[in-house]
Amino acid sequence: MTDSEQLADVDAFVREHATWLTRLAYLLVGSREDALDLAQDTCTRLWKSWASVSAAEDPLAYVATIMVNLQRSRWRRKRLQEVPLEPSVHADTRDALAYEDVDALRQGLDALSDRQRRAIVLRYWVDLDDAAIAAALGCRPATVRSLLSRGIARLRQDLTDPYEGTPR
Amino acid sequence: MNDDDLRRRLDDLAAHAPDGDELRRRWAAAAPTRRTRAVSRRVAPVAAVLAAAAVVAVAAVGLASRGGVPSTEPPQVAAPPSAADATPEDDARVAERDEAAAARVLGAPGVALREVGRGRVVVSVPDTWRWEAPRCDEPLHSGYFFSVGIFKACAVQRPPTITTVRIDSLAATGTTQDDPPVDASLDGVPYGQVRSTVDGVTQDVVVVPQEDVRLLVKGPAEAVDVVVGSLRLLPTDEVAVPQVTLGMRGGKKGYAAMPRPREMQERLTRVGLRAEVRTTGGATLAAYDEVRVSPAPGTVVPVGTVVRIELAGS
Repeated sequence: MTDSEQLADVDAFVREHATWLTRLAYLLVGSREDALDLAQDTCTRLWKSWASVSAAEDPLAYVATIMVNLQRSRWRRKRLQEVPLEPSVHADTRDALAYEDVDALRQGLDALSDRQRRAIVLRYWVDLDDAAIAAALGCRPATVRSLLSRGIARLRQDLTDPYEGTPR
Repeated sequence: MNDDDLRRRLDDLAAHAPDGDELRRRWAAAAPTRRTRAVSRRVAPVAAVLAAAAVVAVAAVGLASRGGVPSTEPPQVAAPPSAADATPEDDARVAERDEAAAARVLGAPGVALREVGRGRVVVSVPDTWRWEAPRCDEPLHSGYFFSVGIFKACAVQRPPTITTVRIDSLAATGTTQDDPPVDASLDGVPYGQVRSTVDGVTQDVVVVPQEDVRLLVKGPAEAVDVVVGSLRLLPTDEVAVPQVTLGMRGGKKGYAAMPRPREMQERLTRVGLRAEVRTTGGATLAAYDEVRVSPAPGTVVPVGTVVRIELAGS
């Protein structure tokens, strides 16, 4: 494959999956600006690793792994930042959850450890299995199961309305 | 919460991510770099010097035009917004049509507009615009942001097609030579407005000294017209949520200090809002990593509304 053919393939891949890439990045980092940066860095990396990406059984899973690893290396340093919260920021979420629920999930994800959050996003949003998540996180499948179990328990705790089911 | 429920919630949260078109735009903008592959180590220092020279040149042009040197396109004073043009036929449908047209001009077709601002001075922007702290005081996508005149100087290429609204406190930033004379009236309140064009980007500066507000609207001329044309004063029972996290004193060079929670509360109560401060994730009132404000700064709310300030830990 020539350079120009490869470039055309990568361009087509990015154009087709841009929305998926920004959404995955947003779930991982929380800030819209950081999400765009992470998605862009991921595109650059996948261009450089296109031979491996295109040969992968599931290219999107491979790209998700690239993104998770990039996030791990670049976003270690915590930054003091204001996170503005606003209702109804998207016109296409008419049937979606109420803002409070979305906000609660964002806060719930933010409260998890980085590894727990990555594991949950890769399992429940990218639909990877334990082995693939383990490869992405650089750990054993048993560790993935532990991360998922503890992360889900913590999320459930954070997202459950304390008054729900209270006897009258 | 079962697995399906979690997947659905993640989908809903992911829908709040930046638009994929923004990534496509960035990717397309970087295409020349990919075609030439990486710059070689031998060329890199030369390229860095050339890039720095270009930045200096651009800055010099900008400073020259700000310093009063005549530009090719002289500053113009746009007509002040007025309700006098309204006709009796104006009705909800006309307003809806106008709003739809405005949203299209602002690059958000089909999206409703909302008002954002400072104190009682507001302008209309698409509902999808969110506030995020820009890097180097220069946003990378359409939106609104606050400034107290403190930012780290660095070179960021502003995309030419975006439209932005910067909201300042005049008391915090002081007056500048770009500020226009106050020679017009907005619902009885004196204000000034001036337009200039630098490097093809139109910029309107609006000052309302009595309300301690400066708005700096930048973007394509048509979009700036739409935003500035929507300028209005809120009635006394409404107010915009103030920004609460940019301090004017005590920050490191290039960075605004983070005010203490007490000052955040005072900023809210000064404009008639109530504050509810809480901590999560192991944070305390003295030690926290993030500040979440809801409703977001700039949002118009009734006077007396409770604004939640959440201090989050790691």
